[in-house]
Amino acid sequence: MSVTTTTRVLLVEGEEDKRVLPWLIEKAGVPWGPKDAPVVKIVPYDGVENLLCAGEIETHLKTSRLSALGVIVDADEDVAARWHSISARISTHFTNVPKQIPTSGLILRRQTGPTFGAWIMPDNYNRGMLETFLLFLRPNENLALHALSASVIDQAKQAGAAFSQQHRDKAQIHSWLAWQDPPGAQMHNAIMQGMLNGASPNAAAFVNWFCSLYGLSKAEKQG
Amino acid sequence: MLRTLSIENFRTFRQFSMGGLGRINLCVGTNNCGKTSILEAIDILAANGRTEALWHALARRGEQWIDSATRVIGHAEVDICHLFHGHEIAENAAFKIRATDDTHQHKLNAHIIERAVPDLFLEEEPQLEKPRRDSSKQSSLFDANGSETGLPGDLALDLIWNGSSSVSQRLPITLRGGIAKNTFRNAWVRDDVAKPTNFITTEALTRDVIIGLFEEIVLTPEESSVIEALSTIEPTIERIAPISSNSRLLASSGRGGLVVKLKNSSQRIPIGSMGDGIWRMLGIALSLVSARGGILLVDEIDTGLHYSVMAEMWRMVRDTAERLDVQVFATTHSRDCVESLAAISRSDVTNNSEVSIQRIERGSSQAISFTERDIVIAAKRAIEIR
Repeated sequence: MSVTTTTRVLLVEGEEDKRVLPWLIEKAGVPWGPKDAPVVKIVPYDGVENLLCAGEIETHLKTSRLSALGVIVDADEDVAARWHSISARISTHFTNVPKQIPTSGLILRRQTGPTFGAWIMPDNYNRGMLETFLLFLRPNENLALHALSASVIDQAKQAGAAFSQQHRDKAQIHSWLAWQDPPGAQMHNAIMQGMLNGASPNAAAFVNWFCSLYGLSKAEKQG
Repeated sequence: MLRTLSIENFRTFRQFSMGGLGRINLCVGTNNCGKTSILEAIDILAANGRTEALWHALARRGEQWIDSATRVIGHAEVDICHLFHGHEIAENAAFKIRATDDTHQHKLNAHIIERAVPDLFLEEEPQLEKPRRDSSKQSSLFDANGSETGLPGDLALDLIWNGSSSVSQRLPITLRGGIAKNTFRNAWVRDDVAKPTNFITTEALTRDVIIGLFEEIVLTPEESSVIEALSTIEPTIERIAPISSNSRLLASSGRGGLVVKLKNSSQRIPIGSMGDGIWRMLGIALSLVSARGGILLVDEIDTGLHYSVMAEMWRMVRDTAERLDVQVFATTHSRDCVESLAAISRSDVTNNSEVSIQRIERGSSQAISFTERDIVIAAKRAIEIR
């Protein structure tokens, strides 16, 4: 029988989030751990509706030896509505659920039982999604290219491109990634290779929330 | 059907409660967290005056003395301090077990009292002078190593059951803190006040118990449901029959005395030669049937069962329990046993869940309760419940 260890669990909308987040955290200086024993176990759902379905978060909160449960979802068009769905799930487990999600991310602790945390992409305030957040991790070296990636998307839309307006940020980051070397890297590879900067100050609030929720800290320079 | 249970000062629990109970309830948790104690608490509460439940709770764990000098069974005593939180008893020490069902609250208050007047126990053995406690021994009320085994002290255990009816019993406590076996036997209660309650331990049921249970159902409609239960493990089983006169079959193992007839075979096969799984399943099925209208308690229900038959075992338990109005409480350590409960759980049920998993955490005063919906989600998302 192995030693009793506590568990940290993170629920995300899908596989893309599951691939991106470990690299983001690792590049921000927080060791993610070996592949078979990461510091946080990520559980991907097939869509936000399934994640926020009655019983999912509640049952995860009852995981044996759980120390903290986190939820990361996209705001999409309405942060308040998304927050409402999350708070409905946890209101019977926690007494101190705020009316609005704090912009620094939600962390709820209890005297006993696991801590619960939530982050609504991109920043718990604006509309958007994971890709919106990642757009802010682009290096500042070539701002003209950032501007071009925005305007080209609008032109493409006007020319009849099929993507929906809600997915504009998604289209934009993939266009921008198409112009890097090598072109068209997947988002997690882009972070891994440094095209997107996990250590960017724009990621700091998110990384702080993540570390605080799970009791993690940045790697100390050793020996 | 019990819906909530709360326990005070009993065994490992100072304060403990669990809710959301359904027809089938599975207790999980680490070793020594108190799973078996919960089964015992329910057993003692449901005994409603039948004090043997206390005897069994203690004797099962070996919490007893057998008089080495006399070796007389009648002098066997159980050490009742182990029923109390902290393993200590003193005057006024008490433990309480409460449960609610859909209409009633059921209570058992057990407390240590000083016996004011000589009672039956003393009248039966008038040659014994009632000894007084040695007041110089502050640390213990009882002489644990005393040679005066079986001598009555001046304390007694008072048990008061309150529910749809009220029953009380007073059991004299011996000088060394025990209760003698014959005391339990003598405590009399009407048969109709206590619901039938069966307790299956991790040890396999003995041949005599199995045969006794089987003889209750032979040639009744329940016989076929027991055969059906066994066929989940051995599909070719057609019939079972007790054999008490054939010494060859009886002697073949400690599980002799019952034979099975298999399809396409003219031979009678001793059931004992068919493996632990069959024996366990037979024990569960028979105990369920004989607990009609009452409660079945099964410690480590998966014992002897291969993981592949676990879901079928749960279906059999659920179907039989529903049909015969039995409420089931079981314990397990097995992941397969927990996950296979999803097979009989409905994904949309949260209120009045028929199936519940209760995780008991050491030091915590409340069980973490999983409804049918939670059980389905946990199985689907590989959430660790245990």
